[in-house]
Amino acid sequence: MKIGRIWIYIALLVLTLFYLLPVYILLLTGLKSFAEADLTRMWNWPTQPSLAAFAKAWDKLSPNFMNSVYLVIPATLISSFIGSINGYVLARWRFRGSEILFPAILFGMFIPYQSILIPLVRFLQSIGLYGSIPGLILVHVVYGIPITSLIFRNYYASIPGELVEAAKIDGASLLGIYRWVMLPLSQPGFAVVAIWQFTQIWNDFLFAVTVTNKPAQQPITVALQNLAGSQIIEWNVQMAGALLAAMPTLLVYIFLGRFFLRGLLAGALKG
Amino acid sequence: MASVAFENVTKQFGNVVAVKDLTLYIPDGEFLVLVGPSGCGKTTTLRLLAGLEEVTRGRIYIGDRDVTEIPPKDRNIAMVFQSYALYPHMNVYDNIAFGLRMRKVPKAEIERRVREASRMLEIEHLLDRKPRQLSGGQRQRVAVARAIVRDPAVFLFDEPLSNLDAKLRVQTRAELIKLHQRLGTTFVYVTHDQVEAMTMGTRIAVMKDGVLQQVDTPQNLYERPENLFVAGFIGSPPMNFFEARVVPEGDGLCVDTGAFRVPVPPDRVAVYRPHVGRRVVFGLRPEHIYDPEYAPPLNHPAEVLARVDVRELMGSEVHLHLVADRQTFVARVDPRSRALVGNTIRVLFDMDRMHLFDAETERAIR
Repeated sequence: MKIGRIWIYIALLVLTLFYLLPVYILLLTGLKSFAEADLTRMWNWPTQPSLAAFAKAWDKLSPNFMNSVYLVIPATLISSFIGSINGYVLARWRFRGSEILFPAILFGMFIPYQSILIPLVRFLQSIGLYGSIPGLILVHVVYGIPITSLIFRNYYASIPGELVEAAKIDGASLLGIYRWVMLPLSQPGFAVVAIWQFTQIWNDFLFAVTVTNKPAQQPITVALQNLAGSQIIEWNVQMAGALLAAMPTLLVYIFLGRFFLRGLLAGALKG
Repeated sequence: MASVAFENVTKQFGNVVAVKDLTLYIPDGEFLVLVGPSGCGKTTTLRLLAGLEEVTRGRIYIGDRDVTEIPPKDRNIAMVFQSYALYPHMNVYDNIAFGLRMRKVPKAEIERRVREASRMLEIEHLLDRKPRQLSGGQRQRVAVARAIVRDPAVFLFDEPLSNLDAKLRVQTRAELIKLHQRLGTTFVYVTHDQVEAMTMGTRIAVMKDGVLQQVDTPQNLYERPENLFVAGFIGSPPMNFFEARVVPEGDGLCVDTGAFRVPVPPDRVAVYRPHVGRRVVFGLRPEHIYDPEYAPPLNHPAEVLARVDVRELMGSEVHLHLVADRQTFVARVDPRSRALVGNTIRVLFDMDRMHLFDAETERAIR
């Protein structure tokens, strides 16, 4: 048993190292000068570690980084909130057609994004949002609804039905129950959904490159790709930029991850 | 304050009939207990009254008002749930005040009523706590306070004591009885525990498989059960049943179980005579079987020989599991009884307390 445990740890350690290796190279190369950053010396330590590449990358990427921020925050909030309301209704209220509505919403998850790009662009053009961050927000909100609704539906299904019934008897309406009972209990649900949506939207490339045509409007994922010149690629700057682009999702995991573990429902039921 | 009436109420879930053609009138101020084994429809009945389920057929009245189509919040009822269903994110004060806030009661009035309710239930010192910081008994009190603060016409209780430990349950039982006396409001109380039902109810409604079996006072249910099910459900240990036949003997009648024959008291002969020769079920409660040494004077005792199979000392009494031929039964006798396991002993049946049921219809023969 003990021996088995040790093997499991060894296997996990090896896998973790393997998985983190690209990040290591990313960091290593980012700290190098342009001359040092080449394939033959990939594994070598930088002779003079410096943050110059990071500074340069930030200099070039910061407007796009902010674009991503302006995109990801409203898109995450709006799609989480809509998902929360959908999830509440789908989990707690039976109405005519509710059995059909839920699979219909879920169906949105199974449509490949690539297949709808052309109608999507035409649609955004016709409502005047093509090429803009608000247009991209709209796309992400709509595409977030299936998954956020699903996560919230399952989360609300785990909240004891008696709480909802007690609120019904106490005189709360459909929206009152949501506002006063479900929403305050939604923190863990929001944490999960927000982490998911933030990561999806921040890391999205396909929608971003399709919907935004002007560099000034592009999120960081697109700008990062455009950082590479057509003649030469400054690998140290490219790597530093990639690390900068990855930083926010990392921070979100670190700061919101603990909400996963919070047992907010303790005390609702028998003890 | 209001009466409650069910008129031919049926509730179906798909093809399953949870409550079947229930007609029940609960007068104003009564403590009615709905009791039965799990799945008998008692909780569904309560939820129909609360408006948490819609009836399939029939009408429900609270007072003179037909509430069949009215949503829970407008029925003027309050409910204590089995799990208490306290709002986990609100402190005790807010839990109690929630119903009043939803009804737009003025703030000062809310404050006054919450204080009053919490004083009545002795939870004033807990008002700032969250439900998770309370013990089971305290949560239960908060749930009751949340119900009484609204001053509803009818209180509904769904097995409110089942999550408490045995000692607290007995204590809380007494407190709920006092609360009922104090408020004088109609209580409808669901439990599967017949002891709870017997001790608390003004009247008890016994249900089985969605069908109301009998509604009566605890005393009458115990003494005059209308059918085999009620007879076996009320009382602990349950009534002994023997498959038997009524046979003539001299001028009178006898119950013949095959294992023993016991004479029917003369005052019942006329009632039982039409059943001579038919299959019947003879019933006698364990407390009406005596060790002759400690038996009180009985008008119509009948002697039966039986072997002691198990002897359970309960402190104030002894339960003897007895075997006569192939019939097994239980006697609740004086703890001084010297009957030992393996002995064949004489026991006395108090035949004035006998019950007889038709074996086909399972109905009491009266």
